[in-house]
Amino acid sequence: MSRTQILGIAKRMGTQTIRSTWTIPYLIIFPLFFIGVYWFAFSTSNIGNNQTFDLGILNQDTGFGDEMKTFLNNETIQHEMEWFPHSPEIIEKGIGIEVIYILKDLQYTNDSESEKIFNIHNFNTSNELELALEKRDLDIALVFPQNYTNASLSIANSYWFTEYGFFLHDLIQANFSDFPDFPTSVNGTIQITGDNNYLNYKISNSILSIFLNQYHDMSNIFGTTGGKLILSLNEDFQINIPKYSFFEMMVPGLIMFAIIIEPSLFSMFLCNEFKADSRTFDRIRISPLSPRSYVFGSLLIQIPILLIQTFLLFLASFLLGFQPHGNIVLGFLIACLMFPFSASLTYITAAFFSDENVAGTVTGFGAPILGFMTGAFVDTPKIVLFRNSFPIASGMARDFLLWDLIPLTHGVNAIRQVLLYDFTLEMIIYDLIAMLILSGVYLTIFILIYIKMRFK
Amino acid sequence: MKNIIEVSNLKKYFGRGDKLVKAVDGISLEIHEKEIFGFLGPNGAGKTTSLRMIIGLLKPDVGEVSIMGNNPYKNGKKLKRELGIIPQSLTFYTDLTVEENLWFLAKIYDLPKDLAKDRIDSLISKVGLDEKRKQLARTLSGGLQRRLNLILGLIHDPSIILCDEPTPGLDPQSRAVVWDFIRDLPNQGKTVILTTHFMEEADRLSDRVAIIDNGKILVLDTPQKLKASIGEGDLVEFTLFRDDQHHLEKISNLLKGYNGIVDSFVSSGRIVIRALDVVPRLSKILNYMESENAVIENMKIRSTTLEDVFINLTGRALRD
Repeated sequence: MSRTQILGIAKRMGTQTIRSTWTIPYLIIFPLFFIGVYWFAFSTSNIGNNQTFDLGILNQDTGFGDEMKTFLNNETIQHEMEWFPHSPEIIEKGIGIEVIYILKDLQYTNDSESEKIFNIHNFNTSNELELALEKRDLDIALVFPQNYTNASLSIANSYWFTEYGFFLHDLIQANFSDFPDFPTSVNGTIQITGDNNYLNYKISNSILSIFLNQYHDMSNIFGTTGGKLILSLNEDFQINIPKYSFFEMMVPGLIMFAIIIEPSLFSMFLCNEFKADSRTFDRIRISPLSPRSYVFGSLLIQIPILLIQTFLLFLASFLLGFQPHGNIVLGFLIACLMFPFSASLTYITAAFFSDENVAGTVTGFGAPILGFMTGAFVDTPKIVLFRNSFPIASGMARDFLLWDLIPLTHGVNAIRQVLLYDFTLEMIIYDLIAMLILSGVYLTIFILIYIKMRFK
Repeated sequence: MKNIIEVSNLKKYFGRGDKLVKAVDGISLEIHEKEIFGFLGPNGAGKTTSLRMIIGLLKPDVGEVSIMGNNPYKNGKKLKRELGIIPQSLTFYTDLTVEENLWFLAKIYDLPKDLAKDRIDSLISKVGLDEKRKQLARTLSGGLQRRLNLILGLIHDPSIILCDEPTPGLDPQSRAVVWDFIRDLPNQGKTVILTTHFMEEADRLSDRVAIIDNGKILVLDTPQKLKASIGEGDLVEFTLFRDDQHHLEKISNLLKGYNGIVDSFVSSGRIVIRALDVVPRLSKILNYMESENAVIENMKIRSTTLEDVFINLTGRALRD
């Protein structure tokens, strides 16, 4: 690989891009047009996230162990240990009950009508829950595992040991000698479940994730971890979940979708080299230029194009009234990190099509299909590949769906959560990593196919 | 003479079954250093396919190619700087200027900046593009585009240059520039492989010519020897007003027996005779034809060309 060759390719393609009669209009007008059409269609729509979502709860938690139940049921102890979860219901059904109560009363912060966010439905079996989700009677479900309380105690205990050098139960036992030991090494995670390609699930999942993370943070104030041992029953728990119009709900997905349309522009450039009447690629093939230099050069020039287009997409969204509540810089970064996947589409298209118009059409049609598959615009069927295997936060997991194999799915999730719900980098890290890993895999494979097809 | 390229039993077939096309069907040849080697044949004869296989752009189904002792499919990297291509199609970037196209290839060949600049200036000057160097390639006339196409293959100073139909559709002035340019290349130590379906081009430029048809080499020799091989004398072509094939054949056969006529045949609606010392005999030949009710529309006397060789070998003209 040679720097001169890479820069030579990049400079040539850059010059061609600037001089092309349709590139600049495409770069500028397309984002404005794309976002504009959605704005025109949906900006006045009342549909948005200001609705009540149907949340299914399957609480399989068996609560505290018998020994702990006996101890906590002692009225004297309850009086003296009022900071510890002690209501009869919690003692019997476990500490997840508190989470459920808070969810039941949760409201949008900026909603004058004080509408509830979740309509809670309790289920006794996982089959009933699954059926309701499949029928989409539920938007989302939360499953508390059998050992949730014990796992929470175990985690809290470990946390104390790590932080302070002694176990929580040792501290309590200093005052109450007959306080039972907390269980150790027990795992049990809350599962958020639902159809990742159901728009209501995506929205409610974001809200639920904000809730659980803020709940988690609050629990830390009291010295526990993971949102598992919650000592905040008497606290005034509030979370910030703003309302959005349908247009605003759509914007993050639209931005990501527009980014993967960009290859239609560039694949046309690459294909132009193979046109029967302009075999410019023959010169390249018999030259000492390595395929890697060619690919790197062509990748290099796509980066500024993508940055400009992403910037314009954001700008157009803001000008048309999109008011994100999250970190715009992080949102922009996520959009830019969609580049490897976007570029991979360029190469796979250019590998198989030698006509620029066909390539442009294929990518132009392919991108919306991908958009639909990732549930950016419409709900798609739920096809589970692995149950509860995709970690979305500490102690939380969701199903890994077929669509999760597409990096765009994760990109849309991440940018939506960041821009709409103020998720931090830490909170979207799983989607971000999944997006980057998958994008890297696709880019590598598609470039190899491209090289195999074009440089053989 | 030292062989710079050796080709043995090269074959390339496309399609299958009934649709099988034998594009190249067992070509063997040697190309000498610093010669212009011409492939002459009609469109679809297999010239370009042969050329693409020789330089490693297309893998043969059967056969061996050796360029300067290297197999282009196995040791292609060693040959990259030795080969220059001047393709039939205009292979440059139309939205770059003349100079930018050359600079791009100079970078691809990793040429030092000063050397690249000297080469670019020299090549542009050689083909008379000095005033057009800042002009977008798409705005050049067809002839000037062809000249640009020519020099792009030479930016890295290759020792073997492959010219695939370098002059189709060119005006006489541009054609002369291109021909002069190509003819001078062996003086600079370069070997040229030329494919063309213009017999005049092959005749004027080539040191040796392989006449190719249906994927096979029919003959291979110097143009002079090839022309001599079909007989001595000049050629006279007659175009008749009454031109049905039967009548043409009849007169042609009658002429065969006429004194001094070496050969007579019908080609592309014309009667062609070969005769020794033809001019003094011409009036008698004309009278004889008139007596056979042949009304002459046009008559042309010329020397033997490579096209005659092709007709002699295949029974049809190059343009048929």
